[in-house]
Amino acid sequence: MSRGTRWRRAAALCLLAVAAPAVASGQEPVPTTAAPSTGEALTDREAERLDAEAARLAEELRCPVCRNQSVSESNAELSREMQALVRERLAAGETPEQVKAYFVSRYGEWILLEPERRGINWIVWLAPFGALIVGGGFAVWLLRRWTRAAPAAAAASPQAPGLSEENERWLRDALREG
Amino acid sequence: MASLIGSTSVIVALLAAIVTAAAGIVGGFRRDEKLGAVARWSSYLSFFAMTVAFVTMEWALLSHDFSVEYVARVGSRETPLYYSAISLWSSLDGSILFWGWILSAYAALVAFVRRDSVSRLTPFATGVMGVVGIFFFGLLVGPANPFGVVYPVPANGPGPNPLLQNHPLMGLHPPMLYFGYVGLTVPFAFAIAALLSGKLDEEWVRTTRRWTVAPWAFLSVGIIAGAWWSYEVLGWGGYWAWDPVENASFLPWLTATAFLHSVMVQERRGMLKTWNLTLIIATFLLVLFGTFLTRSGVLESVHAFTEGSIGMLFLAFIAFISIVSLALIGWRSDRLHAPGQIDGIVSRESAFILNNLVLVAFTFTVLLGTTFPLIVEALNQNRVSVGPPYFNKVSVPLGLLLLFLMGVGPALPWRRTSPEKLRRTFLVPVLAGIASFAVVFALGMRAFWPLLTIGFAGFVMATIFEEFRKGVRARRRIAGVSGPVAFWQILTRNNRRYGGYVVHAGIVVIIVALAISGTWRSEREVTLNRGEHMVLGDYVVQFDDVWGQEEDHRFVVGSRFTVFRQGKEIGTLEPRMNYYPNSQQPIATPAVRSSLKEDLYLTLMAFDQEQGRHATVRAIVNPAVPWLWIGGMIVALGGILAVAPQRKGGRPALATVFEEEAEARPEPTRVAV
Amino acid sequence: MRKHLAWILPLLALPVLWLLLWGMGTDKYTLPSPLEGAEAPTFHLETMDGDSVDLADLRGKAVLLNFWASWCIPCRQEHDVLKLTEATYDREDAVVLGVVYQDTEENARRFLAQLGGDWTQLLDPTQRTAIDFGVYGVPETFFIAPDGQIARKKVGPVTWDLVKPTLDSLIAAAPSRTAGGAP
Repeated sequence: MSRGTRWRRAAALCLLAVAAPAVASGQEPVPTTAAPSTGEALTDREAERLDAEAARLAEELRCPVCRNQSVSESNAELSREMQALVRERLAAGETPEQVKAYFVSRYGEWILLEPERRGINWIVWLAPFGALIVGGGFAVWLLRRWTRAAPAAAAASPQAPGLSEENERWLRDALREG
Repeated sequence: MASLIGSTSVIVALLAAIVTAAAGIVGGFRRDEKLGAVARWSSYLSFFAMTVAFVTMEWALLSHDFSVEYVARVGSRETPLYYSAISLWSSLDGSILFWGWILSAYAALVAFVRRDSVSRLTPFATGVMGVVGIFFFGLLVGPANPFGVVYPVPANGPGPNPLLQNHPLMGLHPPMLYFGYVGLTVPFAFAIAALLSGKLDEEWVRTTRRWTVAPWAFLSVGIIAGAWWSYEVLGWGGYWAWDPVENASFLPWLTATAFLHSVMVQERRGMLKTWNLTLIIATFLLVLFGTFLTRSGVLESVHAFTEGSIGMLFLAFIAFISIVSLALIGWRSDRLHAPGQIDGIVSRESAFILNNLVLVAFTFTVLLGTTFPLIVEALNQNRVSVGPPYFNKVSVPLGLLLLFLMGVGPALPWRRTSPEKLRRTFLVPVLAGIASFAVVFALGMRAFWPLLTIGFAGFVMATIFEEFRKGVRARRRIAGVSGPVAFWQILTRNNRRYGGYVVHAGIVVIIVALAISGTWRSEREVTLNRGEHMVLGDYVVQFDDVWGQEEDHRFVVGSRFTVFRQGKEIGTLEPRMNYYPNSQQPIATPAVRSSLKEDLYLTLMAFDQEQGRHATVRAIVNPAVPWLWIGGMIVALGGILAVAPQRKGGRPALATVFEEEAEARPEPTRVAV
Repeated sequence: MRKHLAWILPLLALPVLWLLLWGMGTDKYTLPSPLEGAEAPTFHLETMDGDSVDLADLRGKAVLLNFWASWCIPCRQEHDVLKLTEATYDREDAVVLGVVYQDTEENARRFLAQLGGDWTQLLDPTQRTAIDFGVYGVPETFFIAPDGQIARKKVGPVTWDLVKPTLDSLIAAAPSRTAGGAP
């Protein structure tokens, strides 16, 4: 068949693949507040808080089928189901740590977008401070060494004090040129 | 035919690069001018040959010549002209061709500009660029050859990756990045030249100043353009994901920024020689590392090209460069030992050293975070992720430190200062910082880090403003001209310094935009039936329609939303989902409405496929985002200003010398000549 | 000391280079599953025929749990292996269960009508069970031992070379077998 027809079919199939599950999962609009599995009604305030917490948690979970995106950023269907699951579990009373632990028990530590602070992962959490402290210590030591060396050097210098080397050179050249 | 021309040109370029490398380096050691000239002319030849290859490939892409292998892989008759042209860098081989061409251009330009130079550095530098050329042109002749012949010639091709056809910025982001990356080869080449020749004074630093600032500016623009592209195309409402390859572009930018500052210390005080050499070598290695990441499959990334033997070759080249460079530093270490000398701890020198400290710490942090999953996997087979939550957390304190230094550094004089002078210099900026803090606090900002950021930003902007004011005032006193004229004069006479201040101002704008957009962003996702609306911030978004439409190279599902603000209709937005024949997932194109204050960002998430009665839309209000791009432009302007040629062959005028020396004094003094 | 720097400094580069070299050889797409060796999550799902299946009811038998979809091309490749598995093993020893992943019942039926296969197919419209098993793509297959533990997870299409030895060893280790009692 011609190229045109072939990809038209593919496009239609893609449409089907994407839209079909949406159709299958129901025609009603997705509610903006999560109904908890217990069936109790939530006040607006509680629902908002729950949504915010779920959104925060979704930003810490990695989308398993995307490249380097969080569950909250991703359009993938799996991510959206994970988001819904997060809201459900939070509504049922779980803490964020428990929800995270659940996903880790299923997908491994990899599902968390920042490594848990334990074991070997401490390297990556302490490294920035380590680098600053080590580097800072070195810099301070260096600066002090250089400042102590300065009075001796200044006394030895015969030229007009205070001009930077670059400007000194310039001045010398300018005077020579007359 | 095109394949033949292209392949031949690349082979010529490679052979010429071999000659350049040999003649340059041998000629440098033997101090042989003739060999130096040979190196120069063969780099011209490489450039000529690569240009032929470049033009041939572009022509093949635009004319849909599917007998050329690369075109058969990424070309398509249905792809619009613009995207056909830029598909040169849409895939591995073409991107290396583009890289190689830019490399040959820089090498030829360096050789040409320095054709009358008698410096010992020049032949060595040309030779080193030849060595780098051997690698990249060699890739093009071998594993990354885009000019293979395809027979029988296909009638059409699959087109470039759909993600790369969605936005015109794809024509800006990679070229800017490549001009930046490749340009950093030049200061590296001069550093190696300094090591090879043993001429380790300030000459190599002085010479490469412009050759560093320009690539740095390109790299900055390239990174910002990438963020902009990501924002406009990927549909998730963000602009920076700390993806490994994004980080790979950020790392050399960080070390190049550190280098830009620390060479000023070397130029003025002769210190930090070894440090500067190490920094620029590290920068170049990070550039290579970045290209390695995209082509080797070492880390997962949105950006990954295909994997293959290319990765091994890159690794081998990185090994070669690092081992040779480090060995050279070791070899010349006896000439590198110069005692440092600082008059006062509170001085611009110290500020620059601290600047370097923070930038390098930042580099180390991002590098470690990016490669950490690999390290953990190597050590205990576990898979972990290090993603945006981590990077955002660690980059905020480091960024704030840098921001603070940006305000303090330029305002401190060289050498030393006094408490009295400090008070005079910083009183107004500190007040400005406190005022900025108070303003955003009053506006409702309560998060700690953003508050601190705004406070520091106010402080820094005030110091920049003060620098301009002092410069204008000094100029007026010395030259007796009016304010605006004085302003123009300091910009043009002291363009390096004031260009730097403009760059700083641009960075502050970007940081403020980051803080504001992070804090006050709001988002909602709702499914609407036709005619229904939702409210977010000041906006009311009403769903009108969703439809499907066939285009030449894709199938588009479009939607229309009418946007109201304070009761008035202000326009429509049409987010889309694009279905490409060769991709399983559709690409959601968001619709963005920008104003100076904020962006309204809509993404179509789902829709009623049968009758288009309802659609799910995610709406984001992103305050201050347009200022990210504006800040980027300011940075670019500052960069252009800084590299602009100075009057009188690059020496500051006498008056400027006196201005600078007057500032360096703890108390006002007459300078006796 | 300074002269030796020429040799010492480059050595610093070596560990990093080695790490990158090693990294190039790793497979980035297969996630190791923490569920291997752990108890299989329970589920109670509806079948395409309108019945329901509870995993707990299948204790004592080896279970091959296969997540698939009609739009998944490697699923077509492994379908024959699954049919062979269904035909080879007694339903008292080993059961093949399919779970439809991110697909409509209609599409699934059409796929099965085309390619055959009459083992029980379960529907998981909200993907809760898929998430519960740490599924992130299709096909993914879990080999569940008669005592309820997940012995092995396979990401990607299964082959007979994998299925036969695995199921055989699971069945051989079943309590009723080793005790020598009646099924």
